Amino acid sequence: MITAVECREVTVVYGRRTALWNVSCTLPAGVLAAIVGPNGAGKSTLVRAILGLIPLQRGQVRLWGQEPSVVRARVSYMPQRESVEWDFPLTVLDVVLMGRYGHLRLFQRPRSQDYERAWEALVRVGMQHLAQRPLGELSGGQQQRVFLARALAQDAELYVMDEPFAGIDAATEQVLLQVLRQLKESGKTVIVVHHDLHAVARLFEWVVLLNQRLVAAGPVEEVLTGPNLQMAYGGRSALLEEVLQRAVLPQSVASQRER
Amino acid sequence: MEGLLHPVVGGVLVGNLLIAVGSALVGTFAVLRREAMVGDVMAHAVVPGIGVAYAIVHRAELPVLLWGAYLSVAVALMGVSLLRKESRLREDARLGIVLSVAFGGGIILLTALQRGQGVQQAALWRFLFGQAAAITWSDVGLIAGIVTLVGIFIAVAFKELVALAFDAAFLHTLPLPLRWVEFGYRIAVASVIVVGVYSVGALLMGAFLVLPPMAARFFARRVKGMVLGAAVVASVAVGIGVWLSVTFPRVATGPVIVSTAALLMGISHVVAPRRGVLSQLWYGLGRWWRNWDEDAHKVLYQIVEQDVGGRWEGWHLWAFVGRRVRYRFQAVVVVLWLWLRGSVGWSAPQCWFVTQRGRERALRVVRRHRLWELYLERVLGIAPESVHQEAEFIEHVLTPELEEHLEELLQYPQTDPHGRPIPPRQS
Repeated sequence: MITAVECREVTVVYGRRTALWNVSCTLPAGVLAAIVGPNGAGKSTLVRAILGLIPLQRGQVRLWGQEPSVVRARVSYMPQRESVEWDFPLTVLDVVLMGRYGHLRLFQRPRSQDYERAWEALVRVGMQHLAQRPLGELSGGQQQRVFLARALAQDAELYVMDEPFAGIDAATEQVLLQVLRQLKESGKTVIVVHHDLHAVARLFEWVVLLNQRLVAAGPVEEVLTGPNLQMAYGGRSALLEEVLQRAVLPQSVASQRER
Repeated sequence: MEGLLHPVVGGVLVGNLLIAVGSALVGTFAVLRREAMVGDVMAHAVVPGIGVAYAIVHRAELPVLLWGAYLSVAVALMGVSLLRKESRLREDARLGIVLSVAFGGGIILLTALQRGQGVQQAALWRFLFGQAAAITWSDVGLIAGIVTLVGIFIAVAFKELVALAFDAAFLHTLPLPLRWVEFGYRIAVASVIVVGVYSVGALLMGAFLVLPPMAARFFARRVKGMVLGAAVVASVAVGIGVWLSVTFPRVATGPVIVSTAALLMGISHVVAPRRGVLSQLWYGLGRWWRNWDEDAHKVLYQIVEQDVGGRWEGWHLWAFVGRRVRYRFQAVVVVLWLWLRGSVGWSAPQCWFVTQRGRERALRVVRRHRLWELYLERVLGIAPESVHQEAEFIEHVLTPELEEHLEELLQYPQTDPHGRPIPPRQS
């Protein structure tokens, strides 16, 4: 099995705060992988480290055995929707075309095949009728689909998506799930930062469980176990909550918990 | 205005228009990147450079002073990035510190120079507030060269500059040598500011850089349009500034130019379609108008249903204003409104009728109101006596599609929670 991503003892420090501490994991090529963990666990930081966007205090990241900066053309990135200002004088198609910039030289104008690819990507996310719409007039789900289309237009082998399921509508979720399936079928590797543990167990085959340190990484059924979740979430995971709620608690304890 | 055609004044005008265009070119990106403050820092940092250059060469000519200005802007920017690396200050604090240190140092330097010897010190102080009228034809050549280079750079690197302004993190994941674009952009901004300070002055050049693009943003749908609009706004502001500066030699040009640009921005803010204040107000007014119209029709329906025994025509005016509605004044207003809107009419004072239009509108709003009441009661389990208030609000915003869904969900009901009939759909 080919290894797509390998992190070795990755440590990232922001100022005085350690965001990631000594994280080592490998991801085989062709899997749908999720990065999960509580808020502030360093999920986005790990993504940025894999993309080579931030300096590492220690350790290294290898994509197909090479430096991230060498293989940028084979990697596609879908940032968090909130990471940009959407009230920007651009149209939907303008943004999707940016996905093609990695295939162009610096200062080169997009060619007709780039427009075709961008259009195909727009069709895949069901946004072709909004191609000329100004960005400021999109709903949250539509914004997410624009970013998805831009990532698809990149035509990469590794897709890295930061919280694509956050705050979207049902239609966008359907599109996203369908795209993930298609990517999986065509043998691409996909890394998705996700916050919903239920969905992770259902959708993904590989999981990186994180809480500043690596808690566990591997096939989903090996990683999402009670002790691992306990370690990652410190007894506050959604799954644990649910188990606790189902269990019959003495009335006094239950009312205390509510307070 | 004839004065503007004089050869000397012509040089002033051309030089200043070039500066306006250059400023619009880079200012648009400064606004889109949210770096207005950086421009202000660079403008203020020009002052010490001019002082040093003058102290060395003892001439207050543009080419000499330009080099000093470039150098000190570069030093200031390096200072900002040094603070970014080595301190834990926030970005605005970093910029503020560099701005005040550079500007303060510059003022001390200029004061010292003035005390020393003084043929051209007045020319130095000019850099603080700007004097558009001081530009000569030989300056124009230099300005034209700089602005042309800036224009070529922006045109060539346009797609990268736009993408960097929108989503820099994404762009840095691409295999592109963006370092050079960023570097070129910084030089372009510095160049425009350095020549702009000559005309607008160090104190206000930062504002002049961003005001025209901000004005253009209200109209522009794409970045090219924003650059174009900014160039127009900046040119108008500069034109007025130059004209005043030529006519009244003691007027400081910078404040006039910047005030004009700010005024134009304020006007855009008010009158722009879609984004402007008036447009937004108009939209709000339209909503208020519609709500009021629907409420009036609802009253009409209630009168027909409860006061005149379900008849849509042939009743006396007093049925309208006397019985159903509590306050006569309000009733008269409602009737007048409905009459003006063509929803009711009369053949004789004792013979009023509801028109087809009034009937349709009344039925539609009542239908939405009662459907929603029923939904609240049946699906959400809210007590019948509390559903009315909620429906008063929803009846104005329920879309036809949602109305259809509701009806299906409630299995095509005949009556609302109070036992009153739900009018059938209007085709």
